[in-house]
Amino acid sequence: MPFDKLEDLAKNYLIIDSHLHLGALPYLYMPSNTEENIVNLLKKIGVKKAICSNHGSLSTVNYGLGELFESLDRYGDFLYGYLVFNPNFENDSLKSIEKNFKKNHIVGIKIHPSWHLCYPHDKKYERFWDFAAKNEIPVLTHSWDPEAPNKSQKFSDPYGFENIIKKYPDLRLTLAHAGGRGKMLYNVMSLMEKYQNLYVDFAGDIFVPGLIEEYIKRVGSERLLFGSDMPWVDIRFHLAHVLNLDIAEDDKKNILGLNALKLFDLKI
Amino acid sequence: MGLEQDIEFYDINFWFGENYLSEKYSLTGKSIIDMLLKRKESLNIGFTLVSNFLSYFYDQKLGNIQTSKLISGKEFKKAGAFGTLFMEPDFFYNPDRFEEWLKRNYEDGFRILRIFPKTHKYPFEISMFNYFYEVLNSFNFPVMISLDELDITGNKNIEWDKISDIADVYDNMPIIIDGGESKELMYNCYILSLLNNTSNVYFETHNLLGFNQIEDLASANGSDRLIFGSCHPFFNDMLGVSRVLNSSLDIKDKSKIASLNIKNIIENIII
Repeated sequence: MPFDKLEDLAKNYLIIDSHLHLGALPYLYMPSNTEENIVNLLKKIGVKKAICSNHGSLSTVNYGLGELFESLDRYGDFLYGYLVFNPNFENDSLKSIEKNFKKNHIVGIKIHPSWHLCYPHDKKYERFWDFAAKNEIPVLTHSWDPEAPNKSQKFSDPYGFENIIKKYPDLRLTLAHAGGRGKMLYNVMSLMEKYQNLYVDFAGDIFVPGLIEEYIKRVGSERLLFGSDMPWVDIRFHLAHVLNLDIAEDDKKNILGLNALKLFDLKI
Repeated sequence: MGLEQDIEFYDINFWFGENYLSEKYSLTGKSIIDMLLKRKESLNIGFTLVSNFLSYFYDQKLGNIQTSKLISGKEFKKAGAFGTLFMEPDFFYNPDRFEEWLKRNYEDGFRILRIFPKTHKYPFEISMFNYFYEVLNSFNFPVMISLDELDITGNKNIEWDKISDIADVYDNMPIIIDGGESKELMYNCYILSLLNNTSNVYFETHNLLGFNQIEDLASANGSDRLIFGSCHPFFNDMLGVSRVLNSSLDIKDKSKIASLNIKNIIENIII
């Protein structure tokens, strides 16, 4: 199987990358990181739709939004976008979301408590959660083990979202990276067993052997999403990973694209 | 050669033994040879440098002895297994024995010296490790170090300058950097500079995870400086193999990364 080309293996599946980034990488340098290179690779290996946030939307209040809409215009029905809520500019950010969330190809909102150094249960997030739940907008959040050496990861502790998902049972929240590291990757399964409105993706460098199989066993495949975290991690690792899993064909189809199709109400 | 199927892999980063933190990550007894043969069959990983968890977690000397016994077995030789040697702390007390020890272990099938200065609490700086570097340099013997060992805070504060200094002074000694668990390898301005300013630093590939990073590094510094490693059992073996084969590099470059570069380094050992 590794000797087969990924694009040939991918032909039998609807593949939706529901977690990637466009725009310049803050603090990092990757020579190939251009929007065109990323989209070309995704299309080449058989991704049918991609949902991105713009790095500029995380690191600035307004700049990234303009870039996001330009990207969405350029790639038609291939590319969809997340708006970003920044709790440090609570009013402006929420106003911007209210104004833009119904625009074409916007399918969700991304938050990043570690990036913005603000706990999701902070008062500054309150109106955002109300708004997302009321308007039934899927939310994608960074999540990580709070005991990681990077101290800002404490803001994205999966358990920090528990009261929120309990309070808003209709809110569909995706814990990106499934808790990120170590035992947290397994603790997130326990949260998902308790709360049916919780989803995960394994974007980033989450390649723990047997992990996805265990998620399927414990919580089923219907709330597992395929995400790459491009350009932080090359999608070819992720695609090879999932395509190679020894799991039921239906589970593979769910993870690679059908779950995202349903969650984000996308049309093929 | 000419077909992807013909590309043979040489894995320099394969762990076996008892990982006391995780049964899942432990590989003992007959399972080791079974795993090596399975990888040979399904992934064309024809050669493997095996690293022993016992050397890492408990006692370097004991682990080296255990590995030596293992790779001397007929089945292991047939499976293309060689060993990685772990620096033993005794040599800081008896440095004169190091050279003889290295020669003996080379004869027993060890091909790389792994150093874990942070975990095993010994220095690797030139001022304190110079005697060993001189011996290694005189034999062209490769040294492998994980970025986790160079990360002084555990939060991506890598001592790149020290590696650069060592490479500069001991330029016959190949230095292979494996990314360990570090995501630092995404931060590749340092990597580009290190590769540009040295001739004997190599990067193991298992967590060159960034978008197009393998192709970009090969394009900037040549595919000669990248060496395949799986980081088994922490990573699925197939991922690294698939990434190299599905890269946009030509078959010659893929072959270099897969096995030719490390074979070249090993053939250059003069001992």
